[in-house]
Amino acid sequence: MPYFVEYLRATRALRIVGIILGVMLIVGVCFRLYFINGTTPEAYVSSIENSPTAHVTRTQLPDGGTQAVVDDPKRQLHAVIVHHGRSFQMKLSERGAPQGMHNHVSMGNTSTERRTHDGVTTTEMSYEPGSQMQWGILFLISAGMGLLVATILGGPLAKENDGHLELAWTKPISREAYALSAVAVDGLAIVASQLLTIVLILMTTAMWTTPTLHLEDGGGWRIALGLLAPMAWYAFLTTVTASLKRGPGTAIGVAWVLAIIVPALGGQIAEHADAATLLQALHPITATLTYLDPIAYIWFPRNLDLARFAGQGANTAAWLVGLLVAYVALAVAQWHRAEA
Amino acid sequence: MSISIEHLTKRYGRFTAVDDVSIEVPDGSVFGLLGPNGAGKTTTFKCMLGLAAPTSGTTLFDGAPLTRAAFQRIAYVAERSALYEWMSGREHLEMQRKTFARFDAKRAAELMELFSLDPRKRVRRLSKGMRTALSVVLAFAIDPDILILDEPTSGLDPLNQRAVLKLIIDAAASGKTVVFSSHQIGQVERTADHIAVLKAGKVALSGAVDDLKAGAKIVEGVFPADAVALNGVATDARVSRVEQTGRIVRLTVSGGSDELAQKLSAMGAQGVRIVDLNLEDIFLNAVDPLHQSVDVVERA
Repeated sequence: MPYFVEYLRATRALRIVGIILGVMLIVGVCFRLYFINGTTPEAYVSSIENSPTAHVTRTQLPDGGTQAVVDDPKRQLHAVIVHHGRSFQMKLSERGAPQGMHNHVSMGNTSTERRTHDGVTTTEMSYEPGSQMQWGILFLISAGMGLLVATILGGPLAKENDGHLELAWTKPISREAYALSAVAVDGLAIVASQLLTIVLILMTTAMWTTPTLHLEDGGGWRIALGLLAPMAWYAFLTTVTASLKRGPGTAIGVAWVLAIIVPALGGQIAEHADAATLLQALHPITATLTYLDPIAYIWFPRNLDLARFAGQGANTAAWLVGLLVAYVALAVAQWHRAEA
Repeated sequence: MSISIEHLTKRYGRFTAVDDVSIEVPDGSVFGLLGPNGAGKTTTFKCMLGLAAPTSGTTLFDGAPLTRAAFQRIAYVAERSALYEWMSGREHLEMQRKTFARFDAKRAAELMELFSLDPRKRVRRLSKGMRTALSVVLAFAIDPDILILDEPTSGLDPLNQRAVLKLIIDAAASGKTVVFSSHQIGQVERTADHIAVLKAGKVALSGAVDDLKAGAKIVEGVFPADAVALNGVATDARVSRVEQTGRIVRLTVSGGSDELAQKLSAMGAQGVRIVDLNLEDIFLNAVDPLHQSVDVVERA
């Protein structure tokens, strides 16, 4: 097990992930306990329909649902509520209702949109019992944690280069195998951190409702993107630091800044490239660098013209796999040539 | 396991750190590599183990080039601690256990106790000497056939220095080959049966300690006054080194020691005696044969 040192680094990184997720879980539990007696969307609608001052007209709909039209002169309220089993959509108009703090709120299984015009506040609310969660979106969200762990573990070869080669290279394993085993261990840790994040999201959701998972259209590509982008970012950090003779911290910090600035700037340059000669000259440079930046595939996908090929999902995955392999190969090549 | 270093050269740009070094380390010997700072000892070790790529030359272990598998049987203690600051002693031992097939947990525990090392302590909390001791433990715990130790007593207190030397002697007694460097010539003298002296990257001297000692003698005499005209003996071809400290004159001679002792007596020296060379004399002759300090009279 020559990758034992990297295994220890990975477990330490996962311990940090555990602490972060643990704190988030505790906050979620506290939040849930605070709202333990709060009104649920179903109770709120029921209070409107069953108000003693309300006049309610119920109609059976052709699709099996029911429509309730509520007029409550005392509360100056008019509502149309369409029920399908436990789910409902409601359009509510109130005069003199308090101004909403949010124009649009979507939380868990409830979506609310509120507008105020001429003193009348219109609220549109939809509610689905249980929570429909999409695998692809979950993996894209978890990529944030993956990027964090990739950053913590990034530059494993530079860390060895920082005074430990006499131990690392006097083991009965080739340099290449040593480097690849370290990368593999870190890759597994990144994936594990993402899975833990998804588990936390599901647990937090389950505190409010029953989550149901489904694979949405394009969800497979989103899962691939969510997994590949942090791995490619890790590989990028590993290759840019592989020849350093000291800790990779500073280089990784600079890489983060550039990885965000370049595609962001590139997007602006692309938009205004026709306006100035200098921008025209810079455009191909920033565009190329953006393609080499794994973070751009998650945070700046519009700056990558991937849709012009067979399909955006497939191209994104193919580019990221290409970057991952190329960066790992470059890192191992540098490691092979290094000297203690 | 024998080691043959053949015409090893290592250049860094225009600087030659190791220059055409050839050394034979016999199987089961304790080989001391001596040399002043910057002589190329550490670079030689690194080239031997493939940690640095030699510009030219090779190192053969039992007549064959070094392979990855051979590292199951080779242990290396680096001059500068290569330990991981954030890992504990126990984790370092675990690393060795998981990597080396011949790791001996019982032996490791004994060695940790020998050096009074707390396995729970992280390396960042260990002193320089304790780090050296832990490195030595890691090397000996894998039961290697070859031990390459670069300054293995550096930073250790005298008690632990003695313990390391005993480990080296015991290892050789059980048939292991030990190559080590040290600035403390007394330690090398106590343990090594073969030595090589490096000077500016080149081998200045190499061979069995007994042979090297047998080849020369020291003729020592005390003169009544400080200023002594030594031209009569300093120009003698058999005298390789003349050292004058106050009234004491020491001649390093190869052959004719009795005759040269008589010459000194004739020049007025009292208490003239012929003594065997020690390793320090051999080392000084090798690295600085003519001019060691202001007290040394240069041979004409």
